Amino acid sequence: MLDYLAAFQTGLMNILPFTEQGQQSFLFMLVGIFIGFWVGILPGLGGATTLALMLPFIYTMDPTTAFAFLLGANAVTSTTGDMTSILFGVPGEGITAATVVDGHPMAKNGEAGRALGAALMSSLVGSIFGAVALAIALAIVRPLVLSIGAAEFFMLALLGITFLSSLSGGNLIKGLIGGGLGLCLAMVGLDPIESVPRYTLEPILGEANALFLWDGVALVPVTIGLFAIPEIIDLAVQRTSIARTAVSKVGGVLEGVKDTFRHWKLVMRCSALGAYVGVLPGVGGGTAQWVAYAHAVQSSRNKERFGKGAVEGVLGPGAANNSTRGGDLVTTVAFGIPSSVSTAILLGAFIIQGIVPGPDLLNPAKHLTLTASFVWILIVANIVTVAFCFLFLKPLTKITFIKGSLIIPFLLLLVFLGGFAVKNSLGDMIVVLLFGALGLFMVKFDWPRPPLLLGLVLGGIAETNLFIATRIYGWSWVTEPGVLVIAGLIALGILYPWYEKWRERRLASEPATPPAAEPDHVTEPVPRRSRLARALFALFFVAVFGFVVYEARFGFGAWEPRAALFPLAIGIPSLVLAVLVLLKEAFLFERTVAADEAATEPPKPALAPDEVRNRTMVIASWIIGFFLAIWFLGFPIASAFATFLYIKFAGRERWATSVALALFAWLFFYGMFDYALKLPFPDGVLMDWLEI
Amino acid sequence: MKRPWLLIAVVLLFVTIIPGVAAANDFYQGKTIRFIVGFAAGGGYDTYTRTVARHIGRHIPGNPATVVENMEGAGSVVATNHLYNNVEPDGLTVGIWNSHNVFNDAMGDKSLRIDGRKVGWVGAPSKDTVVCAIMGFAGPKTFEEIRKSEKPIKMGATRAGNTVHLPMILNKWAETNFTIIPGYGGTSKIRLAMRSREVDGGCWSWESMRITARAMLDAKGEDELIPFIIHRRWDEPTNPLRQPFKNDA
Repeated sequence: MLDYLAAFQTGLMNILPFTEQGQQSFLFMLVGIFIGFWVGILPGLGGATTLALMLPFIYTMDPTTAFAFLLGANAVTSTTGDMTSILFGVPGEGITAATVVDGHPMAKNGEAGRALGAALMSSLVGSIFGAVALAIALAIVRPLVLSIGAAEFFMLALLGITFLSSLSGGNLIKGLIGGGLGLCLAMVGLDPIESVPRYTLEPILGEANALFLWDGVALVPVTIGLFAIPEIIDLAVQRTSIARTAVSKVGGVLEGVKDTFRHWKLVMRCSALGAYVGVLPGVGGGTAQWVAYAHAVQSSRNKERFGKGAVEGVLGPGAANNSTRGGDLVTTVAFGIPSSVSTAILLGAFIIQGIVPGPDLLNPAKHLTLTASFVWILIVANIVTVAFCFLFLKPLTKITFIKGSLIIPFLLLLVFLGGFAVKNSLGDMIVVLLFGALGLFMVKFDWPRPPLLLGLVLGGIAETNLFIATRIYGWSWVTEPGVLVIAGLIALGILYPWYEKWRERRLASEPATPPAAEPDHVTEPVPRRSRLARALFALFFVAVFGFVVYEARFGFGAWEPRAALFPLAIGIPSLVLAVLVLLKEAFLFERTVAADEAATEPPKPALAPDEVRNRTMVIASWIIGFFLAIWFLGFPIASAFATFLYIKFAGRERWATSVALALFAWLFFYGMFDYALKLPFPDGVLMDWLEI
Repeated sequence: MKRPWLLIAVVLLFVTIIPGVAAANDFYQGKTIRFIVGFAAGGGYDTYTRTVARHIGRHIPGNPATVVENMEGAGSVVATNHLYNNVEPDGLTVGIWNSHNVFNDAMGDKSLRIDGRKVGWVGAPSKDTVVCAIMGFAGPKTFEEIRKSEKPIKMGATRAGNTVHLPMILNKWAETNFTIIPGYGGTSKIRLAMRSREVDGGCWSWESMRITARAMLDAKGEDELIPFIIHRRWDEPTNPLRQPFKNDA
């Protein structure tokens, strides 16, 4: 025990600038933090890619310095990524997408400061929690990880899927359909068991283009499309700044910090959730953030506020995507088994340094001091980052008050860059566009978007592990103790809300008041045009699931029935639900509106519907135009060209402003990626045709 | 098949009719050779490709420039298909992917859209020695015992390659009783499944196993990972399972 404490003390001293070793580590940690800071903020740069680029520099470093450098960068990306998600509605990192859902509406309500304060503080709490979890888990990691087999994994994924209901807002059926669509999207590509190509749309796209889909649909472009594109369109249609209303007092940073402690139970629970999800191999921050968000919604008494700027929706994922970092490291350190792409690269760093992950890292006589340093690096790096960010929050929140037309071109470039950078492919930019359109309609017709993403992150885990478990144990895995425990949790999660409602109703009926003298809901007629549009959109889902089932039955399923099992299991119920919604949307002549909402909020939109439609068409054309410019001219040239055109002709700015901002865009893209990072973009196809 | 277990893991190939040497001086002058890696940046394949790409231009007449691109996906199947079907055979593109893709194609894997006989092979910067290993708790301690095992031995596998084909071949050839459990995301996941006793063993490359599974190889008793069928080029490990086949001498 004393050995442990001594190791942790030395581990701390080794990274603080009071000793010679510590000075060197601290310095490089600051460098790492600086890199991680920007990587988190910029949507186009992912944490894993950056780690890979940083790897060659550690050959000459001692182990502590090397990991201070790498972990310092890795630890802070999820903290600064949250800031981009909140300010612009574009996820800074793939693992900070869930912060968009409530964080960005807060920024629109003029509460950017509060949202940022909450995100930073919960990130700090989460990262410290994750680091402590790492320290504790290292001692008890063996039973923790080894008790989770394929069967338990499948059950955990199922548990996650049951969260769909709480992510659905008021529309349970639409949420389930969205979740079904997400699960089906997870099946696109080569199936994980025998490489059967599924839903690669080969007859439509042709063999060459279908290859792109063989690798599946990535989470980041889908998220960016679903959330960022509708925001940009809204920003352009409203012709305002990101913040619609200026809130002086409540919008304060301090308020956000206080929120973290006001909801400290939630923050702790989400931190624990994140750390646990991190420990599970192969499941990382991408899943943790959504599960934490779902939990934040589920545990709230007032679910209607979510998606409109509820601070709990920021606190939950903010804490979870940071605590995951600590959890992530557990299996890497203890077993040499990376649980995410970033940790896989860190594993490479272990090998470069000649350290064998495993018992040696937990042995006080060998590398325990180094392991202890990891824990401290996670903590110190985040303290440094959060402290630094707080200094600059005021100017950052000002961004949300800049005129929208000056920000939109940069947002569009970042959106496409974020999609492109996932696999360095233009295909993902098309995915961004397609899901942007889907997201736009989902917002318009009241379909909740988060369930789709939860389905996408959980689909692969569920299918693979169900197959492995069944292959190894037959169906007897159902009676494994771990499986039963998780099944109990699932049952609890489903039944508890019912129980709560029942109890509330009983409490409400006790005073024996006559059943609601005043109805809290009124009905209003649904216009015929809106009914038709809604039904058409529902028909789209029916068509998609029809295709899913058809392919599974007569397409790839005809020669490989095993690969069709999961698609059918998801596709058929989703199809039935989609048909139900279609009928409901088509024949729903009246809808209920909360009475107070109908009374207090006169249905007087600021813009006429026709004007909204016109402006939407205009900005949609610009979005497609940006994509075409990037495709034809390549990123660096397109960044300057398209930015100039937008600011000059859509924003109607002066020549000087337009040219200056265009130059800025070019400097950023060329200077940062081509020149500094040596990550050249592909040339535009126009260059290829003209052979320049 | 004198050395059945010597497989070249990684192959560079030019999709081309390589131009004659006399013309080569002019041919590569001012041109750029693209290296398409079928795996993520930062991994093993990527690292040595970047090493090769950094230096190879100086050794080719005309001193072409080089760029490295990553095209991840499906264990490099995406890059393989892309190279074969979408790339101009102009001598300027090199693919780096798992050479098992050629075997897999020959064995009827429908995900591959190539004809392995028609690609031009350039070379391999690393070699792969395949190995199979079994955990101590599984029971059998010698290859003979493995062959005689009545109880099926569960071998964890990814979706293609060594991990699937080696146990398959052994079942056919050495009458072993392996049940193959495909679907694991990578050999690290198989290692974890071995430790949690979900599977009994697995087959992949010794170059990888000797480093990443070192702690398991050094363990004792039930937790020991016992490798067998390993090429004599390696002087480790020194356990009785090492040389199962007489013709391996």
